[in-house]
Amino acid sequence: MIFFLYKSRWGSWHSRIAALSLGLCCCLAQADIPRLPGDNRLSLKAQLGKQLFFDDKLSSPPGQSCASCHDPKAFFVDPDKDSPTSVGALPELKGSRNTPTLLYAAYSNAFHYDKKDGLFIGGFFLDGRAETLSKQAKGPFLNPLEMANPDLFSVVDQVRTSDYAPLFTRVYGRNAFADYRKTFNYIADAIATFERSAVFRPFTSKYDYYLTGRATLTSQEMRGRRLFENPKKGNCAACHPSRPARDGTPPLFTDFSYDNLGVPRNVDNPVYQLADKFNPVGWDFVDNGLGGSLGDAAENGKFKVPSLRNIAKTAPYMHNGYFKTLRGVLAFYSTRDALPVCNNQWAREAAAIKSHCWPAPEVKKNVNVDELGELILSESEIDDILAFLQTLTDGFQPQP
Amino acid sequence: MKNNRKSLINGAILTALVVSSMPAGALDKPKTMEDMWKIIQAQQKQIDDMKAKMGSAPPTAAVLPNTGTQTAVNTAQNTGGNVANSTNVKNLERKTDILSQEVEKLRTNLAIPEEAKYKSAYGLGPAASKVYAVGKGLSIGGYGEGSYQDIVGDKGDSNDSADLERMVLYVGYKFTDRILFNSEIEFEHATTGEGSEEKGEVSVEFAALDFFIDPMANVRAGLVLMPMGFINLIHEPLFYFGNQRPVVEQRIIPTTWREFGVGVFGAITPNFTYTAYVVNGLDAQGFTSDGIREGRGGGSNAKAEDFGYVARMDYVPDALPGTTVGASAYVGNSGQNQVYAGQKADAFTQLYEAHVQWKYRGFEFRTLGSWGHINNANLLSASIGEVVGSQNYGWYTEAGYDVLPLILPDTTQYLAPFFRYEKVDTVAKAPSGWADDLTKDWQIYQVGLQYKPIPNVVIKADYRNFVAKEGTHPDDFNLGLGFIF
Repeated sequence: MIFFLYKSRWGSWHSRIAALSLGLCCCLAQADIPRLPGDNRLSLKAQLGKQLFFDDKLSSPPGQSCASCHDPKAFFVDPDKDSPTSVGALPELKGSRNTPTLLYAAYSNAFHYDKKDGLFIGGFFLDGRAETLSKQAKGPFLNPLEMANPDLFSVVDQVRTSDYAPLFTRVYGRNAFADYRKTFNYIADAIATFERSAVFRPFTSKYDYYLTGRATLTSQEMRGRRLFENPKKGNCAACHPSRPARDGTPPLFTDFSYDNLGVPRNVDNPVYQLADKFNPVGWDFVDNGLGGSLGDAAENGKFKVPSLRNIAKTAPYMHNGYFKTLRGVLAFYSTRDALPVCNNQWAREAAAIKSHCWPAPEVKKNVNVDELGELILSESEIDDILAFLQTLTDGFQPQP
Repeated sequence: MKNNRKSLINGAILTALVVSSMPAGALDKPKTMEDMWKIIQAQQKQIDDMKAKMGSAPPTAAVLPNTGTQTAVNTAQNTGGNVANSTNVKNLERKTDILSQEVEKLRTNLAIPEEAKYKSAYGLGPAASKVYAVGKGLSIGGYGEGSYQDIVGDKGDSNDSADLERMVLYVGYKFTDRILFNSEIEFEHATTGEGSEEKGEVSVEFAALDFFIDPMANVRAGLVLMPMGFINLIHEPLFYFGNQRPVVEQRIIPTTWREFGVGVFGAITPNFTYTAYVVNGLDAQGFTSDGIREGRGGGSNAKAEDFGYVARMDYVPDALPGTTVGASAYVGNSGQNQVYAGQKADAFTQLYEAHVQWKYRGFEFRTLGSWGHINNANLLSASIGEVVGSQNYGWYTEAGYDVLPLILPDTTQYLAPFFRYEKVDTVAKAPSGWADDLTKDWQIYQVGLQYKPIPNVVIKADYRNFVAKEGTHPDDFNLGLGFIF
């Protein structure tokens, strides 16, 4: 009853009752939504975003939510490690690109061209086609290879009739559903707000505890970090910065730029076998990445540099999921330009390593030859870097 | 009269031609102002004597009436004598003029002294001290050093290199006997080009005004060399063993360490000297596992929210000729009003150092120890993501002996084998929560040869073996040269 006595703090009777009923609704609605580390202090809007994120009725046919491909149990990537890309709401359709993790994604700037460095920076999706996080959130709803809704009206209608609709009007006002386009924007805004919450930036890796003096790295992990940062060795930190920012932000392990690493085509990428409607060129399909989204051939083959946080847990790797192992990625960086080109351009990772060759890049132009390709790391050095990368996995329990 | 004047002019021109055709070396240039004055005074005396002689001579035809042929002959003879005297006077006057010009040149020092005395002054290197020896005006000195480095062990990803490491100009100007300016401008690694050539840098190593008030207390202000250790003050290649400076005096005492500030220096007794400055503090944002080196301000938009205080004393005991003992200390906050891992920190920083040098006949011995402490090292570590030692220390000892006099007793050349041992650890103690970084704990064994054909030029060869407590560090062989002027 103390609750009701502090009128000045809790507002009118009317709003108090509304808040109580809303809380009840949320409790009911959250019954099948997992509790997540960091979600105990979510704002109302972020709570709404969480509802939307886990709502598997927002696809056509129903059954797929954001969380289907961005599963919190799998570090917000697709839990299916065997497939290079993700299956859509329509089971016969699969996407063409490997699902990136949403963890730490909100740290990306809006997409822009950095005149000083002469590089495109920031943005969302692997090709940067969404300028902001909320624009990105709209994409999968309408992508026929993903949630496959025919139009935004069907998404909005589903939200309007959902059990968290009262929370929606609580956040966006009585007229929240008056205009379909605005409502669709609100949906994206709420999801983006959730994705900016503490849930998506845990900073609980061993490395984070090391950086705050609460964990010790082993000698091998330290060696790995030195190799990772050494411009003459791994040179990884050139694109995946590993030190805290001046403002105290822990390292994000990406500079949010775009690069063509010369990754081979992946014979297992379902894109090659999609219907003509989705891929009219079949096995001749080439993913131009940033160049495709910008319509600028000078950027062809470039994809967004991902954060390496949780990298050990987010296989497969690269835009087309060519690499199933992190060791394969390091071997590729180390010897891409030192080993001959495989005769079989469709050779898989394991076969290429066995044959001491690498298939030709999917996009031969713009391959970054300055920072990688011939690092010539020894096996023990690769072991060391792998050991360091393992320290970037969230959920480490420091010694009390 | 007309004839006489013409003869005089002719004689003078002839004399002038003779004098001007004399080789320049015929007028032996005196070496010092004092010598010059003696010569000038002697010549003035000569002129005065000659004038006096001329004055007491019989009246010349120039003042007598023309009385006939005989008279004319006499006149001609007399005139001839007078012309000779006048020529001598002109000659001497000309010499005096030339010498006066030389004096003037020396006064303004437009000419670099032909044989400078290389003597350390106020703790600076001998070449850096030239301005203190000039009477007035400009002084130019310098040094250079370069070497070839061959990585002979634990090569890792290091490459052999050939590097003109330093080319340095000292420019000083003595305004008055009481105020002078001295500076060191350094070109490192031979270029400051762009792109792939962006390897070197040009830096003002020091640039300060000295105000001489009293031998016991003089004032220095500007970009000053921090008076710590041997090498930070005297880093000319002739005066230390090996191609590379001692590692302790790079990693613990971050040579060349200079900051902007003001202070006093002087000699309490001729044997007991001191220096004390207040300068802009270090910047803890630059501290790393490799020490405080990157926290130096260097007078380049250095942060000055916090100040540093440094003092040094040196004592040269009469009882032990060739011996110097000294110590120095630096204290000051390095936080510079900045945030570290989310909070402000003072980062109070201390660095202490003590040194002994003994030079006896051909034997040279040095030892130096330095210890530092950094407060809030845990915050500094968290802010950069690597352990910053809350303590750091290093020491070294070295000995060399000029063996050439044993073989060639009268030689002025120099050939000294030497040995140096160093121990250096920039993370001597890790802050709480952080593990020690044993790759920063080194021992260095160094042997080499130092050859000086003349006292201004050195050729060096040395080998260094690095032993790290964890991991490896490249071992190197170095062959190089150095010079001062």
